[in-house]
Amino acid sequence: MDEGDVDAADAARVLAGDPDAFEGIVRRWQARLVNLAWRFCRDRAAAEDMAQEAFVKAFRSLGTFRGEARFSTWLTSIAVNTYRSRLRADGPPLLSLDLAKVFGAAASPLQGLQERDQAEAVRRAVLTLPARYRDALIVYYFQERDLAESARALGIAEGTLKAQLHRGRELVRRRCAALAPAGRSRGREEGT
Amino acid sequence: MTTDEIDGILSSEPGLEPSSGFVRAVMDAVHEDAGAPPLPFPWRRFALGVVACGAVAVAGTMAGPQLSAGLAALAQPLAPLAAVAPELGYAAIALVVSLAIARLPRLLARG
Repeated sequence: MDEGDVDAADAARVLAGDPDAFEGIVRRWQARLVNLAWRFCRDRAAAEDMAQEAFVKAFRSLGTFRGEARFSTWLTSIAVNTYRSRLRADGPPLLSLDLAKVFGAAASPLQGLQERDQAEAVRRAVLTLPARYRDALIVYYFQERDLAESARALGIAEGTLKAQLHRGRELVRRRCAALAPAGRSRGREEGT
Repeated sequence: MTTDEIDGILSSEPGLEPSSGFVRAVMDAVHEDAGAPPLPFPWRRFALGVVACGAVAVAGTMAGPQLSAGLAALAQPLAPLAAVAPELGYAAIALVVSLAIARLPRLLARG
């Protein structure tokens, strides 16, 4: 029995009146939903809270899962809609793009740390994009660059997603070009 | 920074492990949700709405002649406008009625 069959069997048990059967679904998909939520907010507590809300919504909507799409696509779609709604209601997360503020004024002498900081700044830059580009980039990379699955999870056409990805990457590139590595350089010069 | 570098960074996001109590918390929320009674249909409000609609329909039928006289009086200031272009008079009345209809639900919701 593959993973999809196990999920379908658990869903059938839940629909037959056994809510405890949902625990199997939560155990199998918890990491995926928490990680997706993390990419939307970059806050562990908020990510788990959002993932919990998504699971409860999935539990309520199990009757709508017909098996036409993969269970993972169906669940991801519910999660994406939940996270979008949460960000719309609560506003985008308050994240700084200034590396000196994010990681402390003192520059790291280690190249690895500097690269990690830069990568984190790029991921945060994604969260500052208009919602359609942000969602497209987050879901596409979360789905391991599977264009078809990402488009299904987002409920848009593949062509639309391609255009949004292109525009989104370009916006991130521009915003990251505006990041001030000077602050770090200055810190490094002062430190030496 | 190039888009290829951005592509590489976004492709290599490190994973996050859910906390140990996450499954328990979700299942507690699920049980709470499963045990909650479904939202009852608001029959009382529905009945009040039906009665109100009926009352308005009856009142409108009975007060029709007076209303048309009143409307004619209301439209009096628009007479010069209507003389120039009748469509503008109708458009102005339609605009006023639309605004009133748009405001009414808000007033009712507040009340």
